[in-house]
Amino acid sequence: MNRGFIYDREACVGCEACVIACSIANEGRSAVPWRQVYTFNPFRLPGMPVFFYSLACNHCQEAPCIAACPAGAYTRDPATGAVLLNRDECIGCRYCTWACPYDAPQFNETTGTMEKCTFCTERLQQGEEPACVAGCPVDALSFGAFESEAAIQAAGFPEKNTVPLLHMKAAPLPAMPDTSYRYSPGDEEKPLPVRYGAGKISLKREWSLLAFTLLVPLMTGLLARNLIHPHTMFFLLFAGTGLLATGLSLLHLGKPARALKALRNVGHSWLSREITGFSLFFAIACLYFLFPGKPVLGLVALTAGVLTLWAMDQVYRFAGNRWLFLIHSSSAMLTSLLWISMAWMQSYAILFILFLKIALYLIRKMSLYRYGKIRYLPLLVIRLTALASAAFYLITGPAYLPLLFTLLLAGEIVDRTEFYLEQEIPGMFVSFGKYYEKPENEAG
Amino acid sequence: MNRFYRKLKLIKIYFLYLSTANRKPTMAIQRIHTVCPRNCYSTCSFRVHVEDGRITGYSAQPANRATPEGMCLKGQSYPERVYAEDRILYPLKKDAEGRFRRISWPQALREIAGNMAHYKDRYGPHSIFFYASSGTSGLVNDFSMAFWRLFGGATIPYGNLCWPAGLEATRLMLGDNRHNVPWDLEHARLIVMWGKNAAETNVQEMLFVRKAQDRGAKLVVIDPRRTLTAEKADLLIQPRPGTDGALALGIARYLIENDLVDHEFIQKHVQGYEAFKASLAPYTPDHVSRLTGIPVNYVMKLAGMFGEIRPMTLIPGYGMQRYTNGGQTIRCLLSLSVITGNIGKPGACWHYANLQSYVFDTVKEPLSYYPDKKNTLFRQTISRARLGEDLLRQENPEIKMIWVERGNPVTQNPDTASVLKAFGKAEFRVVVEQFMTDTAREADIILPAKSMFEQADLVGSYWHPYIQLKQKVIDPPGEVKPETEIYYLLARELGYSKDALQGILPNNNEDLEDWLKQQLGKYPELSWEKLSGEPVIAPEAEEIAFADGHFPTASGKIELYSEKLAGLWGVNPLPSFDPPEEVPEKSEYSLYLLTPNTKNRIHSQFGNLRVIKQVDPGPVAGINPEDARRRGIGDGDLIRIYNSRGELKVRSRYDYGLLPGCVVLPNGYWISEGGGVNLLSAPRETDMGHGTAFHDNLVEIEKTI
Repeated sequence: MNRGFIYDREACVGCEACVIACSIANEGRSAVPWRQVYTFNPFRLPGMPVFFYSLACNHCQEAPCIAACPAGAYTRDPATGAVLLNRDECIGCRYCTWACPYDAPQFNETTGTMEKCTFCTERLQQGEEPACVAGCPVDALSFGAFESEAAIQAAGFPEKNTVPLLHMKAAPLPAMPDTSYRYSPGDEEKPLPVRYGAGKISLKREWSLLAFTLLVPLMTGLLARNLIHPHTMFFLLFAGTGLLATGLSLLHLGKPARALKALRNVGHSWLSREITGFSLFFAIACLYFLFPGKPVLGLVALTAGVLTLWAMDQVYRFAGNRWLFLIHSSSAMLTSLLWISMAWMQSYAILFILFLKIALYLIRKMSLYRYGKIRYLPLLVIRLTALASAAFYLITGPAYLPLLFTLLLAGEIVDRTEFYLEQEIPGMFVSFGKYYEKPENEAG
Repeated sequence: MNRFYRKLKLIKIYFLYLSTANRKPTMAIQRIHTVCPRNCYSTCSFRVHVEDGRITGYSAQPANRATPEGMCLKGQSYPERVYAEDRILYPLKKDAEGRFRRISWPQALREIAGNMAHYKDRYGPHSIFFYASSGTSGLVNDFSMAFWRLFGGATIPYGNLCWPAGLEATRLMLGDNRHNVPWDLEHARLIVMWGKNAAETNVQEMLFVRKAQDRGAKLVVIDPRRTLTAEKADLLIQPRPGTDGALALGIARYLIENDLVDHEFIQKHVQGYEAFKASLAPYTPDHVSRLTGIPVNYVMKLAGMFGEIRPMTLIPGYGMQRYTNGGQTIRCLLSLSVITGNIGKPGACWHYANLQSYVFDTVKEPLSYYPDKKNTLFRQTISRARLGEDLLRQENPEIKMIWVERGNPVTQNPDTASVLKAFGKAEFRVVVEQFMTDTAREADIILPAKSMFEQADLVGSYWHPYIQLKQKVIDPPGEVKPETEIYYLLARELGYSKDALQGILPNNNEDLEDWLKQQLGKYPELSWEKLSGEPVIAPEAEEIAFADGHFPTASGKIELYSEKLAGLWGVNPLPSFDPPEEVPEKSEYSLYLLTPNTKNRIHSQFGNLRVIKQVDPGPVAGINPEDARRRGIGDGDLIRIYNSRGELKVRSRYDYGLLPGCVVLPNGYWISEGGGVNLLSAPRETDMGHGTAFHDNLVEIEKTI
């Protein structure tokens, strides 16, 4: 038996007293709400219920945030089972927001760190209920013992096997009233049942990551080129790109000064592995450039680089489109292999990767098309043209390197941009959207 | 045997020990029973936690059977309301540039007293307008009038913004405004929430709705909106605003025609049934459907439920009676409870207002809203419904000074333009406030007002039967003084001696609490000690209202037909339907503006707090996408809502559940935060009771930038 939140969806009327109770109890500590009430169908579409999930942190027993945090800032309180965030250790990378399917961690712009529900551990230790539970005026939220399940089964609720410390009381189908008035949408209109929240990944916020993931594969290419044709220019280019990439990744953090803490959780966090890998890659490569007589250093650096890119791809494993992280056309590692092949001038290898990319790209697009999610047609055209013309160019004539490189680079930039645009990291709104999209739940 | 009992006692002691040991209260925290005094059904009991003279939290007070689980989100926000950075803590004076600057209490009192003496001397006391509203309820408010009486009178308003039409309608039919205790609702088999959105405005009522539903009850909601309450309902009926009376008469006709009425009850308790029956002929389902916009099959379905499911509790809201036909609408609805015999039984009542805990009032509502024409001390010529207009029109003497407390008339009274003009026309304005409201902005001097935790009071409820003691738990912060102290000091400044004030105004907190204890003295069951720990049910309050079958009307019966009503208000003596004054067919404006209350505020209170802004950042107008698209308005567009009286600009929000032809903009948002629905409303009284018909309000909308 575990002790945690018990939520009775049928009793909840969406009054948000719990949200305010939480904010007040944590006054002075919180500027962002730690508990939120998520509304399904806020536009009140006909034939579809309006219901709520009042959620803070579920203090999951298989908490993905603990594993994902590169700085190891998340710990478990042995006394209460609470997942706690040590805000002095948080580097503000927001990676936990990707890991948590229930949107519990919230980023505080003023402090530059994450924040989240503490289970009111102090109150629990004094024998009191958490503030939100004490504040519920309709007995929808309570605290008590229950047998945890691997995942919560409820309409529109994220089905992730995180073993949440949350017990949900909910009828299989949320009830809705028989209404005397029914809106009938016109032909031109397909109304949305949910206000899709700002996605967890947006190009506007994540542009520095996009640049970083494009620059690091290029660095492996530069290093490879130097292994074959050593030249100071490559070193300067490599070091410049590396510094730029480092700067960009720091820019992404809420607390850049704490960046080194990101090396702590190599054991569990792919992000920590990526950052550690990149640091090693960059450092060993610089050593190799400084001591050019030791090509073995260069090879070690190159291996570290390729492994870093594998970790980089794994960072995106929380994406909702599961096929994306197996291997996809803008995979950083695949791109790195392309640049390395170019450095070696291995036409067949290049061609092989090019055709692989074309195939992967088409598969990805076809699957998106099936869900009606192709939104950036011009990008698709540019990407395919770049890939195809590069291949054509390679096959037909003696390659003029700068042209080939430009074509390929343009294609990679487009592909990676699309990758970010298409990313869908599960959260409450995504879960609601998926529930809505199931035909049996559609508006009648 | 003895040994067995001893053992039992030991076990009992052990459990007692366990229950206290588990709780482990922190030593420093005091938990003090108190009550929320806002103008709200729930009037929640709660225990406020005080540490080192500071409020740190609260817990529920299960002794109050109506609010056993605790307060709504507004109640939860009190610590911020008390300690907010923008709370007014010192007297403020507006300077020549219109900025407020801190002044000392002696200066504030000197300037106010100087002006008052001057106006009284030159124009008489009636040149001063004293306006208090429903911002805080309690007995202590009586001292305001005591002061003005001492001063020699003033001009005061009559009428009320909230609920008088329905109170008057009920009073003249049933004889009194009372209903069953809130927890009796679980015995109902049919609950009809007609124009009430309990999930937002009386959230604890949903506890009892749920209990009733668990026992198989049906919930019907009648509302043009698909509200949070409707989401828990079995049936949602969405009539055109202002046509609820017609719907009720249609149901009555159906019930009588299909012999679904309670003949025995009618025979025994009802006067005027035959005349009522005869008046219903026109209200066929087809006709009712045309009037209300509800499909015929839904009219029949609803009527069938009224006829077949008993006991029924009918819970009307207060919004419907704020139309020009509001009182008659309420009488039409009430007639359904009457002819089905759903009064005076467990699970059956007319759940409009329960004034049983108002035992200290000498004149009960709604009679207290009538202007007392014979009163020479207080001139009562200004209707709250026409506040601005009447103030501007006032002559002999004109209004020279305005004093506002417990209210925000600039935001909350109809016809904001006239209200502002009237405030501008006066020469000197004093506002007692906690925050910089739209009304406070108009003041020349603002005096800081107490919060609910800073002075004791006795508070009744219009929903549950408890009388409660609101205790003083903290000292007022800054230089805040309770109104009683302000009046005492002002009286001294005006030259009244300490002896002259003896017994009229309390000099200090002890005096005040003595006075409260004196009030309690009339009722042996209400002791200060008992009330300090828990709520107490009002003396003689009935759990099931009218269970004895005694109706205190002139005839002793339920008066479906009321000569008295016709005589007092010049309306049809029978419940009847007339369309409200503003209908699209007779207007250049085509949309009903609905201005309901939301869970996030009590009228114009609470919305300014940071924690509340987390969930409600500002005013948004709900529109049906059909109406929106016809005007080229998208979801989230900035729109202009306007009519001949005014305009305001807000963002739109698509609401597919809203009846077409309606726009929803909750009331209470300050003009300074982009709200102010009364910029658009008209100054009219309701058909009875001197209520305010500001819901009779048609508008047009357009996209703007």
